[in-house]
Amino acid sequence: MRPAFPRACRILALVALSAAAHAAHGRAVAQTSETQGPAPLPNGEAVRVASAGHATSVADLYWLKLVQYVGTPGEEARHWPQLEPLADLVVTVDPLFGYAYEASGVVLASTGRYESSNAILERGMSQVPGRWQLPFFAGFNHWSALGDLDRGAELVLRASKIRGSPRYLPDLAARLFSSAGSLDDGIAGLDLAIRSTQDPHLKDELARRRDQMEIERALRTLESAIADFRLANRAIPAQLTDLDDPAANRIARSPLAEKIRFDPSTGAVSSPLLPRRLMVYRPGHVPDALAAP
Amino acid sequence: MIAPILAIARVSVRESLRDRILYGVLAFGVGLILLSAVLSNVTLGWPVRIVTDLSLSAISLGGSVMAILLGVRAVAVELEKRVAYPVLARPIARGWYVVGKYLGVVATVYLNVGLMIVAATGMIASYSHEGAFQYAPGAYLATLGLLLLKLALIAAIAVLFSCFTSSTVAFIASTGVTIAGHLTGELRFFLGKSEQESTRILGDLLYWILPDLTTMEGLPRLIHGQEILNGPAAAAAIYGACYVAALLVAASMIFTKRDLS
Repeated sequence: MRPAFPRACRILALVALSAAAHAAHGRAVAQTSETQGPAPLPNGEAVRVASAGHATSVADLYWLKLVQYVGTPGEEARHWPQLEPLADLVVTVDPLFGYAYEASGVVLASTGRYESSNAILERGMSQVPGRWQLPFFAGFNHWSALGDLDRGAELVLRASKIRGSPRYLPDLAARLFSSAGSLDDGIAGLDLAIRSTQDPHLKDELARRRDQMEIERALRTLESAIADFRLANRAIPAQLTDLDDPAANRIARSPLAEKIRFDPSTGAVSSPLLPRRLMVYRPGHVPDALAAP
Repeated sequence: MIAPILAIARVSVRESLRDRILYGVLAFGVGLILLSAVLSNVTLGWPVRIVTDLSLSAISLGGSVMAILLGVRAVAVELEKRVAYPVLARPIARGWYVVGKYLGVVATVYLNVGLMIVAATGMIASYSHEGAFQYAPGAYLATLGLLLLKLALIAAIAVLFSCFTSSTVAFIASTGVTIAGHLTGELRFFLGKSEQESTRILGDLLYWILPDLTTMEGLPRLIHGQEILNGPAAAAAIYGACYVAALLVAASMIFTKRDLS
């Protein structure tokens, strides 16, 4: 006698039920993470011990998680709040993972978190002293963003002494030591770094930092031109194209202007692509906390 | 003396190759190697590290599972199924029987792991820069050699336990010792933090008695570009070989004294 409900149908029903339960679980987890934020990460030391001899592979898996996180839509606008704990987890599980220090440092710097970027780069410098990119990027952060030109030049010089570093580094270090703080030096340095980088993703990040420097340079030109305009006309320009300064006027009419916001009520200029304004060393303008010893 | 050992090993290999569970583990290992290639495409930077790391780890994991499963079955299951008795009734020393079984287990594991190594090496070669293999051949071969030695050691642990316990207990004990063997340094460190002298002594004892399988891990050194051949490889090889020999002597002694009636 044929059963009323064939076995295949029973299996299909069970599969359908299981899929529905799985989907419901996924929705519940998504709702929880929306209200409570991302799930907490495990302790790096505990993960390293639990990996039972396969720490580098586990670090790779967390590294892939970090890469996916960086690419998650919407996280970039929030400046990747989970990036530091994830990077810390990866390099705690595998302290010799040189590229993780480098890439995390570069991405953190691109969001304006230069102190965090330098913290992970300097941790990498002590663990992987043979990787020239780590002191190079840390030096660049000091030079371009933290206002410590001497420390920046010193780190770039240190990078230049590491085997396998590009030939241009000693020249760049000398240029940074003698620099009066012009952004042109930084842009030239980044151009050299972009040309010498093989990794396309890192190249993109460096190009992004170069764009930020160009925007900073444009903002400074505009600020100076707005100040001159106010002095001459005792008023704030209605729009950037009203500026008299030819360089500022050129910027206002260039495609770069699309990346710049102008507030006609205060005369302030800013850019959404620059979460934190860049600083360069200017004698007499260095805050005490950032001044080189 | 050698001929009966080799005959037992040959039979052991033939029997093991009929075991379907082996093919399951092999498929699992090859699957992980293929997965490493997929994962390497979603990484930043250096994909060959991901491929090398995950595929050689897959070999290590798959090989360890095989070594434990086959090692446990080598003696314990043969006794439970009473298949070993006709062989033991012949004029063959029980110690040689254990050694023959062990060699059979290792040969079977190496056959399967060899297939995985071919697949992984092909994969790593395909991801290497500008047509040149990413690693120095000596360093790569040393890493594989240490991995094979580690699997031989795990098989010896499983064979030792299978000589005096049931297959289930031998499986649990071998798995436990294999995991603990990867954590000897941590065990010593954490137990050494204790205020009690006895706990600290226990930590030291475990550190010296348990097999330190991390000494045979060449993979981290390989992917970090550290020296292997002129570094710890020779000492690790001597340590592993001596430990295997000690385990086999212990297994043979235990099995010789065991009452099988």
